Amino acid sequence: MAPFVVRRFLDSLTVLVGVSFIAFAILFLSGDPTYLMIPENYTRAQITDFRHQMGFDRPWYVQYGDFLGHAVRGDFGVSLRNRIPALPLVLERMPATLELALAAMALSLAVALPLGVVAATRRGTLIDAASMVGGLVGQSTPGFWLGLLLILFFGVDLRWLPVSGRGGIAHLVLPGVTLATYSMGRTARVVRASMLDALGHDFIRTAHAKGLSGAAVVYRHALRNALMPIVTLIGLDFGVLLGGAVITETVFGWPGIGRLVVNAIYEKDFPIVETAVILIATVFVFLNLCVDIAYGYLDPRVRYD
Amino acid sequence: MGACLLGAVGGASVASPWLAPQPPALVRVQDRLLVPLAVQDGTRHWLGTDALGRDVLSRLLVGARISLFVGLTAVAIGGTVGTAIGLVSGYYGGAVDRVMMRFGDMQLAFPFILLALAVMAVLGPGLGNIIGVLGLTSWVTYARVVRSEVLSVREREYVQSARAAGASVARILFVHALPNVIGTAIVVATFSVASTILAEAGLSFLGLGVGTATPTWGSMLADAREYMTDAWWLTTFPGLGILVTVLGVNLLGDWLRDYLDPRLR
Repeated sequence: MAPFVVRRFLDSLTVLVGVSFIAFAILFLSGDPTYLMIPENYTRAQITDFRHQMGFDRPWYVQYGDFLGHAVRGDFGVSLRNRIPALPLVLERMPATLELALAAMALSLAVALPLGVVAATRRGTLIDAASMVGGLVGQSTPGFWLGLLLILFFGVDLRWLPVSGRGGIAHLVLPGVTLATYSMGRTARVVRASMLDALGHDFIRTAHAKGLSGAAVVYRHALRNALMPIVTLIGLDFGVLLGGAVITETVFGWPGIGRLVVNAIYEKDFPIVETAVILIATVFVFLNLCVDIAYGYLDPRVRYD
Repeated sequence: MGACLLGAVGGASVASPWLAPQPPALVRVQDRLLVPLAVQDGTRHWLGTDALGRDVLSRLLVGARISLFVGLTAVAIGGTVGTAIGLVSGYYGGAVDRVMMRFGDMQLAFPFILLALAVMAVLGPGLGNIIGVLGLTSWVTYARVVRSEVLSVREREYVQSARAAGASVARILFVHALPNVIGTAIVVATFSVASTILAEAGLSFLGLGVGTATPTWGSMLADAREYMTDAWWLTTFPGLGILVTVLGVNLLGDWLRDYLDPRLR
């Protein structure tokens, strides 16, 4: 187990170095930031001086090495807009995004797990068909549109819920539902398929035969065996949720990383974009590392070689 | 069912020049924000008009074209590149495989929409740009699926004997391996048309899609935000368009999966 964890950890680090390179490349290709930073009345000589001072005249690999060296020490450069270090600016928004993503994840699982299990155990019934069509519709609904409709209905017409900003639980409801819908549909469908697979095994028949109650068979024997693909999906879904948060946060004025990135893109504040991209990728990579390690506990048959 | 939905959307988008009651760009400010079914100067606006008096139905039909075109071409690019990489990677294994798959891991570490967003921010809006970005960010899934299939096909006896008989690598890959993996790739491609259409709509909604000059479902929704409380039809119909199209693609994908590859059921 330990060598496996170490190797997976090193793998994750390599991936993160690659991520930093891609993020750097995006920033680099966005062009020379000199003209975004200097006053308009600079002379040609002053511009050359400035570029030299900032190091923009060095070849890309030197700049990347420099960037990586600083990034490792937590220095991701300075926001072009308000000259504040980029990392704290992005980190400050992290809790809001994580709160939204976790709420959506919790909601999605709370609905999708029972729905998928019920659909699988009552295969071919109306409940099964309805929940699977519902799942597919959830997966096909553009989140931002759903968000707009929810705002229109619950915020504007009924005035039940706040439609913008971050606050208590009430503020979390509409964006949470909006963000959760896609993964809810997908998870419900995977839970069903995975449960059907597990229910087909011989040990289920044995469990029934030795007189266990239906619930015990379903939850203790089938669901536990169906968990592997579900856990994988949860890891991957978290990335989808973090990405989806970009749009959901924009619709609901949620003060998270997503809205920060979108605004930074509009303002061509690329150090912010780069920092946010690297940070979100880091969270995602780390989470999937945890998922891989969790496999060993969920299924002792998994061998780490 | 899925095919019907898709057929309707596809047919409507192809026939849009004849079906559209008005040129989609025709601005008639005096007819702004007409409710659905309103008749003005002998033209019936089935789905109403927007803030500039443009006919919503006509714009929806053009939007359908863009959505389907972007979805299909981006998937064609991603699918071709990904399948080719998967074939080579799975067949050769070793260093080539490791480098390719690690590269794929790196790309998957980015939430898809965030990567697309960052690249679009650099490139700027445009039809070609969005197709390229959505196409090239989706190769990994194909590469992985195809690679794992090739890994098992490679060891089969008929491939071994083809190799023993002196068949070239290209021949083995295209004649023996590809037909075995194409079904899976098509299923992946179908679902990825659905996610590409959603991604394009999302990017256009944020103003980083095809560009403001072309009506797309995403940009129509972005415009609708300002008039949400007075003109429900502006918010409702473009979203329904996306939902129906993506649902159609997903249903088709489900059916194809059961049909082409019963093992995935």
